[in-house]
Amino acid sequence: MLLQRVPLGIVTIWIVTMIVFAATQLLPGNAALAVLGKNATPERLAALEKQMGLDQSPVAQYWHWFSGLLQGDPGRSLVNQQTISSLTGPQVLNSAALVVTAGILGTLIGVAVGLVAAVLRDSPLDHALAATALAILSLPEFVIAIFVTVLFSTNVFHWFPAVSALPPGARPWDHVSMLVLPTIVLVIVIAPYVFRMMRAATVEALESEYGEMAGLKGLTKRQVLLRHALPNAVAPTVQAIGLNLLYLAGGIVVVESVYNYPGVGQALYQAILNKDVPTIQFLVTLLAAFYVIVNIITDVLALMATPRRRLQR
Amino acid sequence: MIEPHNPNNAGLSRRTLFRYAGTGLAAAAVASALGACDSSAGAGTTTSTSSPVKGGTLRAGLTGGGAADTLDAALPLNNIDFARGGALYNPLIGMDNDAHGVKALADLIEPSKDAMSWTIRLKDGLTFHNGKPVTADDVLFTLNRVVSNHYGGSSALTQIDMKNAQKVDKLTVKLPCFTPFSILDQALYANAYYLGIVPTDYDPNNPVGTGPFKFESFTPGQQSVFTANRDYWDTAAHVDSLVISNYTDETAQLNALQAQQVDLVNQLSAASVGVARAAGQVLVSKGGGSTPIVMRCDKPPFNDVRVRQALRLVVNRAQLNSVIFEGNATVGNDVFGLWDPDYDTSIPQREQDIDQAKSLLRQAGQSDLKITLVVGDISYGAVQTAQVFADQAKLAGVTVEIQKVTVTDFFGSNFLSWDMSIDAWYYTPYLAMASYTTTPGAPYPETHFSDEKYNSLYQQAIATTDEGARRELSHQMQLIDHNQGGYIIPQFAASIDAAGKSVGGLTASKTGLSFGNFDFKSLWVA
Repeated sequence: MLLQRVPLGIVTIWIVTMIVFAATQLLPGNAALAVLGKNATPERLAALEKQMGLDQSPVAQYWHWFSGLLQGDPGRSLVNQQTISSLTGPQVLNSAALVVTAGILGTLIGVAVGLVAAVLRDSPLDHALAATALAILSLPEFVIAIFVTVLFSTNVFHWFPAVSALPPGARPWDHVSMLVLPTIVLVIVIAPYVFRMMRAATVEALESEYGEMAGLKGLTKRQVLLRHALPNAVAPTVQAIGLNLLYLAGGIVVVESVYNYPGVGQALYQAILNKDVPTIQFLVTLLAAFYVIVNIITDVLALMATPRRRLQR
Repeated sequence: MIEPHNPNNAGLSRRTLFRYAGTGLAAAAVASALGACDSSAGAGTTTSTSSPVKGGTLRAGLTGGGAADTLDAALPLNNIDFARGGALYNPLIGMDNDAHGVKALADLIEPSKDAMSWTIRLKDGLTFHNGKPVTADDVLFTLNRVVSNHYGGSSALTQIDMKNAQKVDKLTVKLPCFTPFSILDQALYANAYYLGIVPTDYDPNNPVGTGPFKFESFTPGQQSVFTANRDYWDTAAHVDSLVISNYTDETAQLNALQAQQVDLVNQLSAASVGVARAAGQVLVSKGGGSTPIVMRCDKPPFNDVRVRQALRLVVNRAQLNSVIFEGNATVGNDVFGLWDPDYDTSIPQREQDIDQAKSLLRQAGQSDLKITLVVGDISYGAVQTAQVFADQAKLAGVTVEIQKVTVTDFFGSNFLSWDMSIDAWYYTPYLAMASYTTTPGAPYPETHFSDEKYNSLYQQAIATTDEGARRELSHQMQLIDHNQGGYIIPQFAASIDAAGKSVGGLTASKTGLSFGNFDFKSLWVA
């Protein structure tokens, strides 16, 4: 399966780069205008467009970028002439730290609480959890962020920094306290999805005929849960976790903005604002690669967790 | 799609998968729990800020910047570039907090009697951050660099014949003019942010200037760090270092101020004043910059002066001021150059007059006028002005359709030729502004206003070095602007900034630039 999926994934990424490049060409304005703003006299504009290579044909510009990428060089930012790898590398790392931490914690909490709710289904606790999850799912991220900041930083408790503006060059793990609030927000955002999926899948397994059979056989509730229900709840939950990770990769932009966290969302937003095509291309390619890889991994994991789909029919 | 294979050869079975996954997740969870403790924001105590304190770091969280940020003395694009430029460089002549010209590196800026040339002499004993003395060569280099590359500051130098500019002696240059130009000093200080003096071997990647702070590090869109210049020619900085961080979100700015992670935040909206006041000190600068509504005087319907006057009468200026600036702005009278000593305050203030507006529109045959107003988020107040104006115009039966564009599109190929738009201007004294916008050869002729009498008055004004005569000519031009011009200037914007409780030395500036024209050297942290 991998032999099929990997080349397909690479082709997908390549097509994405072409679509994104075409889209940037359709937008009005260019990076030279973005840099010059009100000072864009015709002479200055022409000079800068030439310097940026924007006077070349779109095909030549795309080829210049793509051939560079194949040689491992994503090129330079149009707007500040720094290499894209040195400029966005740290930001990609920062976002990755946030996504991984929030992804792991959100998953663990979602799975654990989902299991508890499934076991205690229809209890008052279960109802309370379901209502809370639903309420959280309906809140936009920035509202959660403001609430978390008011509670843990600015107004009630003064435990953590209110903004997470990592100094340039610093790694997120050098300033763990700065990761706390954005991580809490992202965990609050994603855990309800995992929770609901885990609870539903586990309840289904527990109430299935094989679950009942296992109980009738004399197994303890614990054994039924861990040996029979849990393994069968994993496949759908893995899919939910995968979706969450994909959501995090694109969706942290709001959280990065509220916490002034120098991540990939901010970088992409700036690049789009400045029509900085090589930077947009690089970041989108990276995100597309992440999507493809996460999809392949979740499919493989879900497959491994579903023995009957692996067997020859 | 699913490739059949023997589960026994799978390498990683479901059980092993779960085992690995469980171990990994647990380890990661412990690691992040252990790590969650290092220095964080504590609530400090309020300290006295009345007398200057030496040392420490001043941390500013400023908006408006991005990946295109620059430290190049000639290429600043936005507020945050101005802030860094003000730290690193000095112009020949700048503005004080009353928005009046004040000599910086120059010790003499003087026109010849016929205004056909200017003599500029540097203060003696000035040095760059690298110890190199500042000379006439550096002045010529800086101005030539700006003019030959068509950089932003060149709009101040359109009348200067740089090819024939001469070095008179070590500290003095002589700049000849193409035509008489008696307002070069004005034009220079209005453009001071683009005209920081740099050395002849200037390298923007390792920028050297004469300013109160020296370059330490710079990451575009994120942060820049400066250290105090202890050999500064004027009063040196109180603090040892200055850190300017980019913020893109006002909520983040306010949170950072509340948590004492920054000392200064700028360009707040009126709605944030309450929160900012609770967190520290609010500084309101009644600036002379504006977000004027620009009408093209050469295109229908705006080529009819009655339509222009009607739209000016539609505006409820007090309401705009209160909605957008909580009453902190200064009401405008459709004439630019608010703080110019020659600004004519005797012209009666224009008030909303819907009946008169309707009557003018009827006379012009435009009773159910429909217009499109192009606006981008180019400055605080631009979009808000458009929205409130559109509402107010309804009262006179005028339908204003707002066309929102991005900043890049606004300044794109249609800039200066939109039929109706909202531009943004920093404070510029009257004649300098006229030289940029409303007179022949102006680099920003966005109103396409053309009036023979006006042009003749302008030519006389810039040809005379007699200040009294110039004032009289300037007043006559202002009256024409007020009665016929293509700008609606509902208000001169106030900028609302805030500082932490421990910051001292804060001064408002009529230039509208934050913190007394980004005068970081005069601030201290107690």
